[in-house]
Amino acid sequence: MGQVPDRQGESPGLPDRDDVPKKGGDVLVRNFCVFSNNPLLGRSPHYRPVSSRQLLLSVRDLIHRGAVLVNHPLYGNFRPYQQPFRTLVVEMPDTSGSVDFNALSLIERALAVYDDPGVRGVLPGELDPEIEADYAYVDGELVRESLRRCGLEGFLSETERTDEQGDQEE
Amino acid sequence: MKLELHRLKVRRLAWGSRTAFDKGLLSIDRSALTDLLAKDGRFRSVTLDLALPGESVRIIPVKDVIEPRCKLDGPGEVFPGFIGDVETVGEGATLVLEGAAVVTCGAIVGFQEGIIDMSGPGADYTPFSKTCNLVVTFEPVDGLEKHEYEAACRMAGFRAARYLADSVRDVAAETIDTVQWPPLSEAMTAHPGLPKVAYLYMLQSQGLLHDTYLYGVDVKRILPTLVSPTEVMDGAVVSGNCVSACDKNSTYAHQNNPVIAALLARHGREINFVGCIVTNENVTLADKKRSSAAAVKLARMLGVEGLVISEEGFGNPDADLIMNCRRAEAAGIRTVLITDEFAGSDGASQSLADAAPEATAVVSVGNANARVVLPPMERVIGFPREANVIAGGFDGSMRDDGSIEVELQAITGATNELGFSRLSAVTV
Repeated sequence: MGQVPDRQGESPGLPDRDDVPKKGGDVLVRNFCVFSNNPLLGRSPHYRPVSSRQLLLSVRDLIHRGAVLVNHPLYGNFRPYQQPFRTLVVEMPDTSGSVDFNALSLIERALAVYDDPGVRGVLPGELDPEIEADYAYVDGELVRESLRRCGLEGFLSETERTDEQGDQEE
Repeated sequence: MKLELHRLKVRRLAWGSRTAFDKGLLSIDRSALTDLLAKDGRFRSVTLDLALPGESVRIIPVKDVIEPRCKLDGPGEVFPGFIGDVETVGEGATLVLEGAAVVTCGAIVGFQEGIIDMSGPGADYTPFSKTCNLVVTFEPVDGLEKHEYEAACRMAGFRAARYLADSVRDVAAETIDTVQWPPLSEAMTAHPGLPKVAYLYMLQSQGLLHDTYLYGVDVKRILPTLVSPTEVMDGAVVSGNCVSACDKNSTYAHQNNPVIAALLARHGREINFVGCIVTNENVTLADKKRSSAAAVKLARMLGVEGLVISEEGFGNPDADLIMNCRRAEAAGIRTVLITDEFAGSDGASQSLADAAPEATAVVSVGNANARVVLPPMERVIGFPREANVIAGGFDGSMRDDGSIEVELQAITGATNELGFSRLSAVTV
């Protein structure tokens, strides 16, 4: 992926957003979005059918630009060679330019798990479709609460998307 | 609070015309129990099997293991919030069918895992190869939603466990253990000169197949709270999780929590054990901060000098574990952490996803990435699936001769972080 996502289209509601990390400052409108390679979150503008490692790298880059993580990047008791999907809820950068070093540390540690030389992460599309569908379902359930807090639960669907919205990437 | 554990030692299981206990033999009325469990309309079928130590039997995929218990006297019923009412438990008398276990099996998702081998090399890694197991396998009705399927399996396990104990409630106990738990007003001044110590009991609470319940409440919804050890023994804490079965606390492990047992054994001699603080392991980072702050606040309110912290799971909970450690140490409370490791099959990789210099006293219960070869078994109970899709299995797990090579991650309770396992360390 690599490119910074468009900040538009990220306001599907404004529920109890006091219950997520604060960036500080006078933020009148908080801008959350969800990055995922899980097809059940295909309605998110930031859905990309990429590897989980690539997804983590993209969000890591955003954190360097001031984004804040809402959920832990290693949620779920799966190893990279088991679960092909990752979903990260992020508060997008504002103009403060401050870096959340806790979030940066978390995602670097998560990347270290994916970069372990003894580990080959499983990619979306590599597993038996029935098994992969179950992994996608459980992935969505594990992040449902984080999505709900940020008004993004509407992006989580019961079925995989069938269109080709979002860029296909290597 | 005073709790008596009335124990009967189960050494054998057999089918019988009625459920009864006699000289170590627990006879089970198969049709009566099947009928009881089949009343849940969410099941298309309920199958009961017996699996005894030493048999050539594999059980897969295991959802939960429960020790049969029921209340003989006192308020409430075991597994409060699920069986009976939500009345506070931990007082009176409870019947324990020691040596017996109810094992539940259900194929809620395709990648499910949790292996118990009753013999062979795999049996050495699970404590439930040594229990006399009643295995209950559930097939759902068509279209049953996964949360409902999980909940139905969970409830059925508790019903079966309670049924077995309740059916023999009139048999006189062979042994009685008594746990006396004082009110805080007494505990705070008891045993002057001994350090006050509490137990921070971290519980999985990430979501479907990763949840735990306290008095029937999903633990992800709680603020950390104080419970007595006797409440835990009566099933106030129950499991709703099974993914990565090696380090998940089955309900059986909660009922027999070795950390609590060890703290009670040292109470009044080496330490003044003042209580268990139950906390969660949520996915949202704000929840982690809130729970960690509240848990350590409770420890400070108790005025403890030491805190034993047990983790459940790996990855995301490593952050909770380390956050709890750092906050407690910053508050002047010394900590001991109990965790397992995911250090690669050769043990050379980083073990945890988080770390801190304050974590100077850490107990490892084993490396879940260590591999073991499980030979074929004569009988498989449950839903045998290709080992490649077991968590802990990997591409090439299944061998031509039918044996499977898996990581300990796939074996129920292999690296249980309460220490309810068969692994230990030796000096070489």
